[in-house]
Amino acid sequence: MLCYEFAPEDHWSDGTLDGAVNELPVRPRYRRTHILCAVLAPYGLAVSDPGSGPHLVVADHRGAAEVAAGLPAIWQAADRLSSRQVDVLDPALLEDLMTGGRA
Amino acid sequence: MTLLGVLETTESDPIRHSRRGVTLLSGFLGSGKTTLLRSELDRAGDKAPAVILNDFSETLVDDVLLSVDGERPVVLSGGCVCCTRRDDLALALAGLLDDEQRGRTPRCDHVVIETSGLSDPGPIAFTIANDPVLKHHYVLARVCVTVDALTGLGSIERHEIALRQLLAADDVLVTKADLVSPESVEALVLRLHEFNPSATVSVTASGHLLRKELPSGVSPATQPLLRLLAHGADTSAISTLELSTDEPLDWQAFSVWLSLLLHRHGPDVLRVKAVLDVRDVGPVALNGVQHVVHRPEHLTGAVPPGSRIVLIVRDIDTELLERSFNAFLSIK
Repeated sequence: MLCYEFAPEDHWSDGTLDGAVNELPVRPRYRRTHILCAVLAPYGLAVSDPGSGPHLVVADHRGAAEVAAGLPAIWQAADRLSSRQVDVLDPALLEDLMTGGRA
Repeated sequence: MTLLGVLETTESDPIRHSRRGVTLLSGFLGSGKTTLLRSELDRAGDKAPAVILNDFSETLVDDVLLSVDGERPVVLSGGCVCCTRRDDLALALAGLLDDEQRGRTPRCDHVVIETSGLSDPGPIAFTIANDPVLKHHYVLARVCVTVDALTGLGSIERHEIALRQLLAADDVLVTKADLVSPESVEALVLRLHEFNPSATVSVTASGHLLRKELPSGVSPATQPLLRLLAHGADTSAISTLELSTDEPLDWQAFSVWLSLLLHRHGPDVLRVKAVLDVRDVGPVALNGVQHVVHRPEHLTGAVPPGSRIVLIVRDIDTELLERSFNAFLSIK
């Protein structure tokens, strides 16, 4: 773990009580990153996985970036980096997801 | 049969079994919480749970009523557990552990917290689930909420806190059923199922169980269940929605969706309760009271195929919410 990385808190989205905490196995981790990319792309944001530690990197097209561990921190970072609020009920987002990013 | 489930062993996996179960006993002012708890303690005898009592007033009588063999319950007075007494609640729970470890009291596998009639169960659940020490020793087992057969419906329709209590319930306990007609009880039970389709509803009188009904499932209603007066002439609409899918659930898509829903609309998501058939994992239960979602738990035994999620929301377009759920699950 690098010096900038704080240990994330337990979060329900990391799975069942007896599952691995903090660090997702590779396949679910890849899948989560892929889904976050699809959700944040309409807001001009990209998500990348540095490959170690529990953190992901959220970045905008101008190069501003934040490191975030866990889903709540990712949404907070996205709120700061995007000019539009990321909203699960945003019709434009839903249209984009339903058309596979072609909207 | 116990009304609050304090004698039942529901913790099948060893991680949960090592922690003490906490039952929150909530319910609006005067809805019969203490009567019910007294009966429960009588029935439990030697296996009586530890009791933490919170009262809104400074003058307490309930702690005397609830004494078991001279042992008074731990009392938090002068405010609601949810807003002003979180630290006290944490200290009280830690104090029980301390007493146990020093050998002053035997280990109690169960604790009942009787909350003030004006408490919101959500933040109390948050305290138990997120305190860095307590979360390793306690687990929220269930939220039981009393509803007065005489005045309960009126309280729910007039006081948002009574509604919040009802929506947080895993078990709703209708009290004083002997004081109204069977038809009135029947109508109340139906209405309670409409409000909180994920809860069991038990009918009681003088602390004794008369009958118990399992969760009803969401009825296909298009109108909000209730409009509460919010700010001036504005109203806020409470709606219930059941989402389902027959395919094994993509946990990553679902958890990204639900976490974003709670991030953006958390205060308006009053309840989440789900049985999910998670791909490569199997059936799990997920339970959330307002913004507090507990880690999912593996389910053993017979579970119907597919995933069912019950959401109780305020001022959220349920059709749009369903579309959003389907859109996230459609991500390839």
